[in-house]
Amino acid sequence: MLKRPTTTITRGLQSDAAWLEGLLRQAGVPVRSSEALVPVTAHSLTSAAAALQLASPELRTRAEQIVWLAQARQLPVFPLAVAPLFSGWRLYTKSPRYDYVFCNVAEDPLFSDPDGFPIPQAVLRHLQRLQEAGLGQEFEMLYVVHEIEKGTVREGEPLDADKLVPASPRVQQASRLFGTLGMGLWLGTAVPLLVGAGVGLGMASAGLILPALAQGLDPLLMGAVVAPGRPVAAGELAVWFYLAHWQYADEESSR
Amino acid sequence: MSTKELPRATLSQLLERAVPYERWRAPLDRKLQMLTLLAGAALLAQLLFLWNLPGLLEWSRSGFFLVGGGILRGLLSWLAAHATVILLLILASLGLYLVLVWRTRMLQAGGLTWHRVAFAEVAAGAASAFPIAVSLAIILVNLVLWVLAICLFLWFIGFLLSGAGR
Repeated sequence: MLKRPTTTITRGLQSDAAWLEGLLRQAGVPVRSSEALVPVTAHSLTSAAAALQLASPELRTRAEQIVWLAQARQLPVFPLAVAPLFSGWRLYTKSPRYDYVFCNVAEDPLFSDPDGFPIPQAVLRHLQRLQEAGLGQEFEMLYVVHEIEKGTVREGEPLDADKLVPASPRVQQASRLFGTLGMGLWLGTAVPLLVGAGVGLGMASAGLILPALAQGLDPLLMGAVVAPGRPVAAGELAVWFYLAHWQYADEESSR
Repeated sequence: MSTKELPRATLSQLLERAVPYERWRAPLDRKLQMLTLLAGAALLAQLLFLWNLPGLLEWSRSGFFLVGGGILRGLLSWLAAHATVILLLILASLGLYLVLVWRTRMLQAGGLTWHRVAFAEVAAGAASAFPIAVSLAIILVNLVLWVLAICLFLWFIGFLLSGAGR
């Protein structure tokens, strides 16, 4: 029978940045806590310390049950913080290297994007495992933290999906191949004209320099739970859990 | 504290809307973009070409064609025999082209599927352009021959007139 990890959970609910980093390292989850968790801690912990006093026993019990369930299935799902829910998105700009968009998934432009919400295949399989383990329905809300280049998103402006996700390198590669093959087809079509009329056709192919893609952009997916019977509303205290993270630039290695 | 319920997304909803990043959108390659535009023009040109096929067939039987008239007549006859199928293919390609333009936001960016569709349009455009190119090549060759023949004729007349003047 699984031993109830009360001490760990209690410490988890008294979240502070050092504990979170330690817990994640201990669990072998390769999150760059100093960067990826910055928005979480910055958003939550200032108010969470005071808010923690308000965390009801029901909320704590619920959070503990989720952790037991995850541990029983050997799935890396951890409490990250206790913090109030919020709507829309928030921008965190204090990190020296990246900015972070902290967003309710339901209000993320990628969630309603006609091309879908892009997640590397390996992470999709992991999320599928969480769903099959029954963890998916435990979380009332999902939030995602998008790591973005500094200055690409500004407060007050609508959130643009293309600023949150770099273009897929594999699709770009395929596109280049299609472009080259297409050029061959069209050159073949032009042969009769070249031969027949003796028309010299200068085919100047523009030298293309595609933007470097190894930006290491690093989203983090979190689930939030509120106490049983409480409304899922802005300001409602919730326990936030780590569900998954990935790096878009690492998609090739993640397969 | 607001009690208004927040818009919510569950993990199963996220999984429903998720797509592998490996197939997510990327900008169309510049060459592919340019060729897709060219393909659209070629498909429209092919429509005009088919529209004028009877007139072109008749013209191909005229004395204008000093060389390649047989090839042109053969090509145009083949096109005329398969005009209905070709027309349907072109209309289908043009319909798909409109969807492509819409989904890639004016051929800017799209998922892997749309890059494949763009390539299919490029191939369809090249196939459409081929008979036009062959026809144009034969017409140009004959035009050049006629221009040469007229120049030779004029030179010969001039030569005769200058000889008579002496």
